[in-house]
Amino acid sequence: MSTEQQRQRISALVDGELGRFEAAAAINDLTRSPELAASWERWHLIGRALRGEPNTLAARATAARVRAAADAQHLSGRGRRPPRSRRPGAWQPIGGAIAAGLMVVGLALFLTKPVSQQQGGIHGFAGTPAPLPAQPVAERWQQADPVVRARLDRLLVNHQEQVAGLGSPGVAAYAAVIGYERLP
Amino acid sequence: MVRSRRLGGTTPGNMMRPRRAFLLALCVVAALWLCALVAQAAEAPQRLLERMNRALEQVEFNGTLVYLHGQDLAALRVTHRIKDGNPGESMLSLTGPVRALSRHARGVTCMLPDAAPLTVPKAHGRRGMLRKVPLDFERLSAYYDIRYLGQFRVAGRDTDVVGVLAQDGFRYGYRFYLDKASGLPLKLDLLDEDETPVQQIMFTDIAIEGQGDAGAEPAGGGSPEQVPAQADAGPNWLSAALPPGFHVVSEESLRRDDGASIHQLVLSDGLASFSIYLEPPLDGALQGESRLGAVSAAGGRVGEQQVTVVGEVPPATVRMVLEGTDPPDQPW
Repeated sequence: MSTEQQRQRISALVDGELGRFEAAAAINDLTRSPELAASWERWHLIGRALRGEPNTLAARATAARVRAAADAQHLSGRGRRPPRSRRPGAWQPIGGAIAAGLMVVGLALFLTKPVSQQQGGIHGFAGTPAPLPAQPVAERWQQADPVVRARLDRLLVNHQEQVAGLGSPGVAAYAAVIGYERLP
Repeated sequence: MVRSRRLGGTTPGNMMRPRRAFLLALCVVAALWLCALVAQAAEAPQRLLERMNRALEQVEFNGTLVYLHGQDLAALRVTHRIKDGNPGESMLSLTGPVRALSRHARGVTCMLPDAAPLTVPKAHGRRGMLRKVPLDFERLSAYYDIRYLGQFRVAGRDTDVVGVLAQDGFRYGYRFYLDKASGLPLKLDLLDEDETPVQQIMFTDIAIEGQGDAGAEPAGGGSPEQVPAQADAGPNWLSAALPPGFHVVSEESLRRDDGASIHQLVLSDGLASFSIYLEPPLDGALQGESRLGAVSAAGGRVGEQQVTVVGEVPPATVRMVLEGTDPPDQPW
């Protein structure tokens, strides 16, 4: 069972607002708690929806779980990101209200879009695979299909886990996995 | 008269003999000292690399590193801890979308923004033994030129620079910048055949904590945890496809989410490595070539198998392996 403090920490991690030591603790929390890992994924999905970015559910293969969680979140409000205590001030309630409004709008847009339109088509999913949305050229692995990207990531991490002591010492073995990002 | 001169030993010739002997002895000592110095110099980079491996097993640190690939630069926050004798890392991207990775007692968990968190279980038994494989310099010297390149300052700390330079285009070369105090690599360049960096990783700041005695030789002359590499020519269908120097060092059977088996062969020349994955065809498999920084991948259907080759080697290497691979329908 994750504590509220842990959830706040994960929320701050998603936003990239954690300091060095808190970030390490948050990552440890994530690896230990499936519930927190699911929150991480859900908040990323919502964030992408709010920013109007395509959500590549096919790579996640968790559309049903995410949707169920989002439904539960929509109905009960239990899955909402925990409010984080920042600088107190007069703007905070207004900012919170705006953020909450945006989140509801984003979530509504996200939920009203059929899952089959959000995914690129994946083995085992119901529905007709839709054509892939236009992707930026600079995707990881230069692959437009998120399923291919996710699969290559898995094969690479699996390989590095076995050979990290050889050519790429320590953290260098995983730098490409986490560090690779093409600038917009 | 003549005899007395000889016996007396006071002729100028006799007086020269001790001097000559002394000079000769001095020359021998100097030559031996020079030989020892040369031998020590030749061993130095190898000692430094061995020390680096020990440091990664013994020294805790946290810091910020930058990762440069092509024209793109990323920053990562890194924490390296030793718990119950097992090293683990957490890494967090500081640029672009938040990405995180944790290597822990149960394996590696990786969280990327456009995919579900993925966990690869810790390598047990034969899996993971490669971490403990000592560097085989005799074997490496056939394919790499190992040199001490001098000194440099990285993250405000003094380092020794060791080059492990590839002698052909089937593998990358390496330039290690090793912290003089701890032995940790503070900068690592991956070099192509022309010694041009294709990828660079460098700490911009680092705090070293719980520093063990990485400089000391382990008891017994070698780490008791180390096991010898088990190089294997691999199956017959593979041998024709391999670039020079690469051997099968591990063979594994994995399970796919849909229950199908994946056969994995790990190949290495002692430093560079790649994996060959063989499995029944599936949606979402790589068809063609792809890259992630210095990591290359090539995949395609070969007979009844999907073959994917992935590793931190040049594209030509994975292409050669894929094109030369002709596995039977059931290679295991």
